[in-house]
Order: sequence, then C-alpha cells, then structure tokens
Amino acid sequence: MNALMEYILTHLVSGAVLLPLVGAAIVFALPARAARGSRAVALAFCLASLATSLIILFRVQGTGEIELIDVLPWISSLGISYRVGVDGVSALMLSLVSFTAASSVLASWNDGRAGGKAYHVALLTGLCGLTGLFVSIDAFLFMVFWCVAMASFCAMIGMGGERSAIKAALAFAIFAAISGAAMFVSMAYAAKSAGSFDILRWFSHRYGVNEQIWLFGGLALAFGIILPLAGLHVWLRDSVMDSKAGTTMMLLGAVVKVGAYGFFRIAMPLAPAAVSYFSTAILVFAVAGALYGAMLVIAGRDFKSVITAITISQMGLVLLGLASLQDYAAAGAVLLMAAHGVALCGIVLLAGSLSSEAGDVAFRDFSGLAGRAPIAAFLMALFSLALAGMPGLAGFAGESLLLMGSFQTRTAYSVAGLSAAALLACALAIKVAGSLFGEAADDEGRLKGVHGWRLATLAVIATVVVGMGVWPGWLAGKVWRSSQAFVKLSKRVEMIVPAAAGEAGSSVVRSDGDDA
Amino acid sequence: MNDSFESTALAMLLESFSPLLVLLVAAVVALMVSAFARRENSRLEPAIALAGILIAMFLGWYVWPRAGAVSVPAMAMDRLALAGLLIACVPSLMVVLISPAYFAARNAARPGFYSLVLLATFGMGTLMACRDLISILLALMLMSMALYALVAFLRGRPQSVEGALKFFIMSAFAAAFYCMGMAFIFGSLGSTDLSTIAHRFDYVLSGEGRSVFLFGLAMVSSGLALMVTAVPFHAWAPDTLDGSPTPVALLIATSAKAATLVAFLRLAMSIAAPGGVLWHHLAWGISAATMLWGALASLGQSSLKRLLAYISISNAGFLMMALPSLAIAGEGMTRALLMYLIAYCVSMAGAYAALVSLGLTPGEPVDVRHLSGLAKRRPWLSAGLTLFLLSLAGLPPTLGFFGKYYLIYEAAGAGDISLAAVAGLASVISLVSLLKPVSAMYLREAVSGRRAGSLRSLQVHRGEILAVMLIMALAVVFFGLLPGNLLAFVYSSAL
Repeated sequence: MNALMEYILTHLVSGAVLLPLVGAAIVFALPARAARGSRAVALAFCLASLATSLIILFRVQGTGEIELIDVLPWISSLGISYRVGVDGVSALMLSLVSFTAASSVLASWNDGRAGGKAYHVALLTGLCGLTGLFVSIDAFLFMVFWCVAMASFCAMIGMGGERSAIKAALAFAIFAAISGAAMFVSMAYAAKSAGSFDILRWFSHRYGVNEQIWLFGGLALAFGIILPLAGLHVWLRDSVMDSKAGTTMMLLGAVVKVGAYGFFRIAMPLAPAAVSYFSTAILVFAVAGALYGAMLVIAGRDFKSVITAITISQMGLVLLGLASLQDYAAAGAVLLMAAHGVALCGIVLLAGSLSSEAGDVAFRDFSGLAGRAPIAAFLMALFSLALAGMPGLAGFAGESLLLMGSFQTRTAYSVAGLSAAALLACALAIKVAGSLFGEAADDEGRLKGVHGWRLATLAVIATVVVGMGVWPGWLAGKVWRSSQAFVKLSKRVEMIVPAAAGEAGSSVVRSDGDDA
Repeated sequence: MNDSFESTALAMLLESFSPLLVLLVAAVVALMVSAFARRENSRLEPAIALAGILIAMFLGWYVWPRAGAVSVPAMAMDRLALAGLLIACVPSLMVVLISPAYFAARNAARPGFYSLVLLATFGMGTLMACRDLISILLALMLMSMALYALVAFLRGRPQSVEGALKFFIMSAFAAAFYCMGMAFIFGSLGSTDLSTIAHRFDYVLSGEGRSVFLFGLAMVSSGLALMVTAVPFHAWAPDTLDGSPTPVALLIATSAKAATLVAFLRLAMSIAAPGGVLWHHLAWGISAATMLWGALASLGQSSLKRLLAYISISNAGFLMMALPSLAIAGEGMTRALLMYLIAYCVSMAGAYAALVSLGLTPGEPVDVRHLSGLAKRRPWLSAGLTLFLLSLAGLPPTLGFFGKYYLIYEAAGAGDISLAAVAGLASVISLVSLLKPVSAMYLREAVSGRRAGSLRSLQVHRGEILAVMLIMALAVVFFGLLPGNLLAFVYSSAL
C-alpha cells in the first residue's frame, strides 16, 4: 500500500499530464450520439485534473527549485528526455488551467452549436498540452506540448459554429505557427549550443551576448505573440469574437498565460544580457499594452471585447512585473495571472448564464440587472472589481505587489503601469455600474437569472476570488522563492568582453546588477 | 594471386550488391510474367514486385551492418547507399501495394507497370551508390527512363501524356546540361571521379581552368537540381505529378527525389569543403528559394494533387538544407538529411495512399473544397489524411515534426541560423496551405452537387490501401514519439 502511494506520489506530475489525455480518449470512444455524455466525461476529467493539480500545489514546498521531478529517457542521443517537474509557479499555473478548463466545460454546457464530442476532445487535449508545457523542463517536450495545445485550441476556435470562425481559426493557426517557428529555431540553437535540451542546464551555460540577443529576440517573438503584446494581439480579438464561451474562457484564462510563463521560465533567465539590452523595449511594450487595453475597455461595447481588452491590459502589467526584475514584482506578476484567470472564469460563466446566447451580449444588455436579479448583479460587481484589483479581492495582492515592486527598480514605468491599472479600474467601474444600475432594457425576457448549479458554481468561484484576496499569503509563499530565483537568473548580467591585446581568448565579467 | 582470396572478394562484392541484383532480377521476371500472362490484370506481376522489393529490403538490412568493405570503380555500396536504398524502397513498396486497386478501379490494368517500378527502384539504388559523374548520369538515366513510361502509363488521358512529355523534355535538357558540365569538369581537371574532383579542386581553382571548372560544376549541379525539383528547375514537377497516375506521382515525389538527393549529397560532399563560401552561399540560396517558393506557390493551389506537388517542392528545399554546411558539419547534416528523407517519404506515402482511396484521377482538378464534410462521410480516411498532412507540415507528435526539427537543430548547430529561420518561415507558410484541406474536411459542411458526387463515385475501398495507410500512420506516430531507433540507424549510416 505504501509502495503504491509512493509510486503515485513520484509520478503525480505525469499523472496530471496524462489524465486529460485519457479523458480525451474516452470521449473520443463514446458513440457519436452521446453529446451529453461527452460533456459529463469532460467535466469529470477536468475536475479530476483540477484535484490532481491542487494536490501538487499543496505538496510543492515552494523552495524555488524544481520539485516532484519525474524523468524517463527518451531520445538520449540528442540529450532529450521526458523530464517533468514543478515549482510553485508552475504548480499554480497547473491549477489555474485545470480550473479554467473545468469552468469552460460548464460555460458551454448547453451550447450545442457545433459537434459536442469533437469539441470536448479538443478541450481535453488542449488541457493536456497546457498542463504538459507548464511542467516540462525539457525544451523538446515543451515544444511538443506547445504544439498539442495550440493545435487543440485552433480546432476549438474553428468549431465556433459561425462561418467566420474558420477564418479566425486559420488566423490563430498562422500566428501560432509564426510563434512556434520562432520558438523552435531559437530553442534548437540554444539546445545545440548548450549540448542539452534540459532547460535548467541552459541557465548555467554561457551564451555570448550576440547569441543571447538573437535567442531572446526569437523567444520574445514567440511568447510575445501568445502573451499578447500590444500590436500582436490581433489573433486574440478575432479568435475570441467568433468562439464559444468555453473557448473564450480557455483562450483568455489559460492560453495567454503561456506567453508570460515562457518569458518567466525560459526567455528571460536564459538571456540576462539580452534582457538588459532590450529592457526599455520590453517595458515600453508592457506599459503600452496595459494602457492600450485599458483604453479598449472604455471603447468596448460588447462583453467579449471588454474582457479581451481587460486581458490585454492585465497581461501588459504582468510583463511589466517580470521585466522590472524585482522579487516582489515578479511574485506579483504570477499572482496577478492566477487572479485574473479565476475572476475571468467567473465573469464569463456568469455572462453565459445570464444570456441565452452564450456570451454574445453587449454590456448594455445587463441594464437594470441589479433590480431584476440582485444576486447576479452582486456577482457581476464582485468579479469586475476583482479584475480591477480591488483590495480584499483576488486581483489586489498581485497588482499591488507588482506595482510596489516595479516602483523600486523602474519607477517611471511603474507609475505608467499604475495609471493604466487605475484607468482600467475606472473604465470597468463605469461600464459595470452603469449597466447594472441603469434603466432596464426593453426586452425583459432576454436576461435570465442565475439559478441552480450555475449559482453554486459561481458561488464557489466567488469564494475562491475572495479567498485569494483576503489570504494571499499562502499562494505568495508558494511562488516567492521561484520568483526570487527568476529575478536572480534574469538579472545576472554576463558580458563577454573582447580580450584585451595580449590576452588569449575572452574573459567573462559578471556583475550582479545595481541593487540587492 | 590466389583463388580463394579472389573468390571471397567476389562473394563480398556480390553480397553487398545483392539488394540491387534482386531488384533487377525481379524486374526481368515480372516483365516475362506480364508478357506471357493470360489476363491483363494478373495478380502475379504485383506479387513478384512485392516479393522482389521485400527481399531487396531484407538483404539491404542484412548487409547494412558490414557494408562498404568492398567497392568497384565508380560505385560503392556503403552504408549511406544501403540506407538510401532502404528509404527509397518504402515508397516503391507502397506503390506496388496501392496500384492494383488504383488501376482496377479505372479498368486500366496493363502489363509492365510493376516491372517498370522495379526498374526505377533499381535505378535509384544504383544512383545512390555512384561515386563518379559518369555512373551518376547512367543511373539517373536508368531511373528516369522507367519513370517517363510510368508517368504516361494512363496514355488515354491527355494530362498524363502532357506530364510525361514535360518531364521527358526537361530531363533531356537536364541530361544535356549534365553531360556538358561533365565534359567541362573533365577538361579542367582530368577526371570525373568525385574524390579526385575533391582532391584537385583547390589546384584547379587557382589555375587557368577555374572558370571552365566552375561552369562545369554549375551545369552538373543544375542537372541534378532538376530531378530534385530545386527552384528554378522545378517547373515541370506540378504538371507531371498532377498528370501522372497517383501511385507514380508518389514515386517521383519521394523515391526519385531521395535517390537524386543522395547523389547530390555525394557530389556536394566532395566540393563543399574546397568550395568554401562560394558553395555555401549558392546552396543556401537554392535551398532557401526552393523552400519558400514551394510553400508560397502551394498557398494558391486549389487542387489537392497540385497542392501536394508544391509541398514536395518545398520539402526538396528542406532536404537541401543539408547541403550548404556540409563542410562544417558533414556528418550531422547527412544524418539530418536521412532522417528528413525517412519522415518525408513515410508521410508522403500515406498522403498519396489517401489520395488513391479518394479516387482522384490524373489531371482531374479536384478542388480542396470538395473535401468539405469528408470527416462525416469517411472519418478514418479523413483522420489518416489529416495525420499525414500534419506530418508534412511538421506538427508533433508526428515523425514529420521530428525530422524537421532535427534538420533545423543540426543546421542551427552548424551555424546556419539564418537558413533555419527561413525554414521556420517556410514551415509556417506550408502549414497554412496544408491546413486548408484539413479545415475543409473537419470544419466545413459538405457541398452538394455534381463535383461532390463524382468524388464519391470513384472511391476505392481496398484492404491494401487501408493497410498502407495504417502502416504509415503507425510509423508516423510511433517514430514521431520514439525516434530513438531511427536515429541510431541514421547515426551509423552517415558517412
């Protein structure tokens, strides 16, 4: 019995990766008629993988090292192995994506527009891909899971049901392929140069400054598309507009996190010299994204464009936190990602239950909600405020840590980020308050109240949102050391200066940045 | 000297060339059988061809570990040649398996087809073992003679005849270029042996014969580049591949290309090191242009067969990525080339088997649109075709991904990061065009009308095609996930 427990515990992470795949196989094997069965199976497996990732999150010590490592030899002649493991950050991301996946099954529960079975297969393989890439510490494995995830989401977008959905899927495929190609080439070079596909070993390999600049350029393009950086966000808007509520949730709640995670785990620690070289550019992009997103919120009319804009804005802030190279800011960025994901799940699920048309609602459709469905109005306000970073709710801890931290190292950008956050909060408050308490729209019957299992689910999500707000210490403890390790790696500036005359070869000069 | 030594040497020689000899014997036997067969669609001829190729593959596999011990002038059955033969035999085997159903569905079975396939395969095997410009030319002719006849095999169709004629004329020009180049090279350095060329390269370059020699080299390379379908010598390929019977198109797009590439590789290996920057830039340009041009042109194709033809051109560019950096990382690039060849041949074989099963006739402009909703009508065929197309596009967990990735990995390692970046760009572009049929099958509703009907009417349901697709699909997925054994094979096959 003990041996069994031992076995399960050592392969816990692999289990989390495999579970959705098993689910996908089962859903695939279901008879074609069983669309209803497919969503139940999908939900069960998403919940199971949520449970697994929560166990992992509980078991992770938060030492800053990779824990629960599981290694199998794979393609040994190239130094490729199946190597998975988690630290606090990846465990948190793992929980976030399975949480998002479970919510997204619920969000599209009654949405029978396009083939239910295929949709759920894609959702589960997508979850497998995301889980896998958050736990991979082998670059080749990372790329494989990356492709599995992107192909699945491409299929999910294409199954949106609208005619334009296929176009959106193709656009997504093109952007994902560009991102993938940039990543593959960079990683191939990094691996060949370091002689291994083990990402952790890359950090101790000394890449030359020029190498770092090219590597970082490629990786930043790859992850910047997914993040999305302002300017590269076109795919996100198109994909979200034409997709089902569940797909929207996965894209905004989980997929964009891959971009930030890529910067956090690979791009920035790998190329510290390039980070300092491109510092201004990254910060400008980050702040521009935050501000641009906030302004898009003001301009947004329908629900989906508003939540997309919120996501762009918040991901800009996340990048600001990472690029500030400060412990608090990095930890805050990670927490903000988690908070954003959870609150977003809540608000999309709520909007989907309110409207019969599964999320295709304009904000003014919610007019008078406070009078007709007070509970729904309360939840709507709660989730919006959490997204806006109100104290006591999920977004606050991350956002405040992030801005405080970045204020110490990148003051000007931090102030700009703060104004972006404030702008976002104002815009969201005006939008939501204006619609909740405004005059009721003409078509009384359009908005349903929130009842039954939807209400229960939303209550659970709301509890998580509040819990993350009032007691962020536990999560912060999990990610704190990893963030420190990230900052330490990304800040070591290595410069290979050309050898002075008379000296053979080149010498390596290290400095540890300007502040402790 | 003494008899026993000579007889041992002869035995070793026979042994190392046995795969080729078996192919030749099988071709002759198949020809005889077809000449005396009573019925036109005799099952005996494909059976002989099948057996011949299988025995040749087995012998190749058996001889491979101790290959290269003996050689005759101008030829050597080393591990590279044997590995190339094994790779080229896979599509030939698939052609033999899928052709009976293809011709039976069109009532076009005629004797001689399988013997020609065997002869072409024999030519390919020979080509890959050649180490002299003259023997390369002879083997090239041997291979293409058989292919001309195969392209025009459905002679009633004007597209077939057109394709064959284009192929023939272009090949004739290529052969003429090649002969002229050979003469120039011989004139400038006095030999056509590849190792001698490598040896005297520097000497010639610094002497008076420089321009004559370089001109000759360019001519010889362009003769080979035509068969590889490198841009700008690719123009015949889409028409020929579109017009030929689908199994033959597979043969031309994969085995013939593989064989010519191995010969090209041998030539390149002897001139890459002394050629230096000149060779690097030239090969870089051809490879990049082929990748990009094939991928870009495939974007505009609406016919599935033409789409695959352009994808095969683009893949030729990928294969030629191995050529520029041969001087720096010859072994690594050769491995990567072999790996990519395996991935490419297997994926293409599967895709063409699916085309046969769809019932596409030569030259018929079957639009990608007509695949709409195919996933509902024939789910397994659609799944298989999707797998092979994605493998061609280089998406994991397929062999195509590993092949492409390994190639990029080696190219980046050899310092050709810019070529790797171009390869990345070209894969993105070809992915877009390969996703079109996939999205048509899965995401679009079926179109009603005459065209959709005609697509359904010629469907070929046969066990052999299913078997081919199944074997290829298993290979694509299994080796995509666990390429270790293939990698070991490729490692010890590289020179």
